[in-house]
Amino acid sequence: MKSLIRSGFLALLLLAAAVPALAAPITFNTALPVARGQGIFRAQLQYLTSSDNGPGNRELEAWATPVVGVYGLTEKWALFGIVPYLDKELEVNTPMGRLTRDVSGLGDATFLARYTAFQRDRPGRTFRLAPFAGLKTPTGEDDERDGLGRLPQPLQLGTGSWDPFFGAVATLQSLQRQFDAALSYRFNTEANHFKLGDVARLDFSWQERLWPRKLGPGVPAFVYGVLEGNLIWQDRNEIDGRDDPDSGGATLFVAPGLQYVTKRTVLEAAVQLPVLQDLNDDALETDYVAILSFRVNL
Amino acid sequence: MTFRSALLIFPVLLALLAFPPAPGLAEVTQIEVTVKGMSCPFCAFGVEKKLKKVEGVREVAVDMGQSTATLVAGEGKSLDLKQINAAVKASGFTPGALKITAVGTMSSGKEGEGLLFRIRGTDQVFRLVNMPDSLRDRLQTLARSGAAVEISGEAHKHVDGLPGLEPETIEELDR
Repeated sequence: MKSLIRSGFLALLLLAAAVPALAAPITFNTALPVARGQGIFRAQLQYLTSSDNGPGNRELEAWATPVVGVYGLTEKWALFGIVPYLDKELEVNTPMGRLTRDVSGLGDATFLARYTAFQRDRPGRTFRLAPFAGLKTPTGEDDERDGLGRLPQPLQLGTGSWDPFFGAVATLQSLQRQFDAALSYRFNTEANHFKLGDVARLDFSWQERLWPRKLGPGVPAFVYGVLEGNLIWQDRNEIDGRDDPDSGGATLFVAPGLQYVTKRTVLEAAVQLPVLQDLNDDALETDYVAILSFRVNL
Repeated sequence: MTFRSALLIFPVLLALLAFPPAPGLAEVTQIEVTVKGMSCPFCAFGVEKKLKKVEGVREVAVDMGQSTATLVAGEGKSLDLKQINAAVKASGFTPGALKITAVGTMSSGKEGEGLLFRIRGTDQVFRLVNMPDSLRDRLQTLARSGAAVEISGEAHKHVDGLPGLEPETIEELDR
């Protein structure tokens, strides 16, 4: 039974693990500026469902509400803080019958800093390149228990580990469309005799202004059609220093979505669909992730 | 503070009280700045917020399609070009062309300098450039009379000293 439950959930890495902010992609970060002294608040609602057809017939449902705060330290430096609220439920067949294990509460907080290293501005057009680095901190509870004992590590709210990451994001934006691409790597460290596999991500986003077709005077609201992609690779987890064969692998998500962008707020929705899941052995596959998001300029 | 330094500061304070800067004389009444890189409504917020904090501003209007922000000074107030450039930079964008509307006086510059426009109440001087002959004749007349004029036009940076101003409209004032 233990092996049925402990198997890695690459899908859970999606929840609140991206670093979303600003007026750009829905599932990851951007290189667009935050004015010096300005703040941005963002709240997302993410719903994820995963399942498999193995003997355990596992079904995982997870809700995440990451809350993001952004602050423009200077015109080049932006600081981000992300704190997720998580609610996870796993159902699995066991010799004792079908079991449900669930947990909810605050997850691990992530902090990062982004620096605009290169920018080329033209009227109605910009290109920027911004490296970033951050740390996922063990603020989430990592010793949750139920009647069956300690929850398997992937179901815990937090990993208990301090996980540094770094990457870079490039943004090309015009009045009509926007492209973003980000590359990042997270070094997961060991805690509680468990180490999540390191994670590498390649994210890209294309946003096309659908409305208004012609720009009028002032600052009109925009409606963007969005198409995003997330290629996520995770190394195998380690339990007591040994690889967990039922974990890790690669997944490619495609996420069509819509954004309504005004001067003050952004409302957006997207659905991440796995188009390729090359997972190791019995790792749980993602069915889909639905995202509803709201941002406000402070 | 020592007694000696107090003795030095006191006359300066007296002079400032006796001859305060004349309010309403510094007159850049409107500036349109091109904001390079501003390409989405959410980003325009930061630009507008920063520009609203520029001293003397009564109104800021951002135009996404034109990539411009227009600042209008309050009654008797004047806008500072340097502050506007700094505000655009602080919002994470790049300031571009400036179109200014300012009140000042005309004069003839030294040999080769042509006509000069000095903004009233400041030491800001522009060399007038790229104007049709008909406008040049009118401006020369105004330079001789010393009358106050309101000029609107695009300001340019020049490597050889004075910034240039390409006048689009000119109005003679009786104040």
